[in-house]
Amino acid sequence: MSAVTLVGMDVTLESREGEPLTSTLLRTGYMMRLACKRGGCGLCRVHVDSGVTEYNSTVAETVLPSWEREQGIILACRSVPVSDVTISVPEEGRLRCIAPLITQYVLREQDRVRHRGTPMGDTATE
Amino acid sequence: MGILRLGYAHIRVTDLEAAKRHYIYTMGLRPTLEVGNRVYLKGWDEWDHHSVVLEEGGVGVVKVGFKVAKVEDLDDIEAKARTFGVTTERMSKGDNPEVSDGLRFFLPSMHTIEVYHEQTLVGLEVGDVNPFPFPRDLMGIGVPRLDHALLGCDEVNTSEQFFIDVFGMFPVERLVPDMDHQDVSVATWLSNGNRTHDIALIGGENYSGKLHHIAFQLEDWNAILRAGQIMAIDDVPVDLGPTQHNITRGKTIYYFDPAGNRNEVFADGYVAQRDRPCVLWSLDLLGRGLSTVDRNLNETFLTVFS
Repeated sequence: MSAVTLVGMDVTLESREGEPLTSTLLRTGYMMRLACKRGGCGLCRVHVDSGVTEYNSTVAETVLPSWEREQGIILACRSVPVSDVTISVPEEGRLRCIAPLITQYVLREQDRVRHRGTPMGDTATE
Repeated sequence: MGILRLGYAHIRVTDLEAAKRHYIYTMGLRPTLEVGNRVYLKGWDEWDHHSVVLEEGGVGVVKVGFKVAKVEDLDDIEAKARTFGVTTERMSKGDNPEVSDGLRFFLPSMHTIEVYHEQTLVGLEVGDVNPFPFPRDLMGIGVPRLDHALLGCDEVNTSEQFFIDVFGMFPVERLVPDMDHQDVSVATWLSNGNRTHDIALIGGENYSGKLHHIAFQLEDWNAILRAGQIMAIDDVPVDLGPTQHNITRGKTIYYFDPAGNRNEVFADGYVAQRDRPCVLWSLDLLGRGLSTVDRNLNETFLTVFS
């Protein structure tokens, strides 16, 4: 489990084991510009400000060229954090919260686990 | 007789095993050959050896092939292409497994096109003597056949004219800037028989050489919904639909393969014929063109290519 901090959102989300960044965002009530979710369209470019991610499948050079990778750009849909990470979504990526009730629940729950060390009983995790 | 149909689409995928799971297990195509980093597939209602080729390495389209009725058609197309100003080369039998000799050239849109007169006949899966309506053990969606492809172009008119002049196709519907500029094609849907399109082209900056989608035919709206349900079960990312286009009146879902190439399942709208008036769409009502009911543009459908 890694902590994913979203620059500009003032929020840190806990990713699940093996979960790509976009899945963490969608699961927690956020949305950004996405299309294929399979590393083929390149729309979900984000910058890794700190931390390390790895790809769960090959990302083609034609979709994300080396010079961009060297600058810390990744495709969020295929990237799984392997450490705590801080991510900046560019303006055109339009990161926003679309389901505050989910986000609020997730953050409350993260907080509760952090302070008490146990989850809040039998809660849905999907 | 000339061009019969879009015979095959040869596309790149980043992970061949993941692509095989999608095209075989989810879409229901049957593999007919695997050689090196390529897999050849056919639909159950296709009789030639393959209609889809998957090649590992990258994303996007390698080439598309059109089948002609007779070997003499190659000479005719070669001559017409020369008149049009496109240089063709001859391809040899065996350049593509199980495919005859033929022609190869670049479309003005920079796509590689092949034309061939024969593929090894494998046969309909239901047979051609007293057949039942479909095979008993179809996988997943069970698409019967490849239907069409939509290719990107920086400039549509030249490639559109190529398909008209050289392949003898006719435009069934066209997207134009507005009714004062009907000569400019922003997109075009071209038929060579009575389908609403066998090939379609859409224009935009840096679209040349790119693939918008390859489409598989389904029977009707119910089959489209069931396909969508299977996509959900198999966690296939969906771009648009289920919906009906006003353009071609096709019922549709657009979705992505595991490499990010867009696919479509498509159920026919109407019978197109050469003397049917060409339908025009203006850019201001493109939302209506893409969707009969919600009429909103989707932000990725017109921007994402592979």
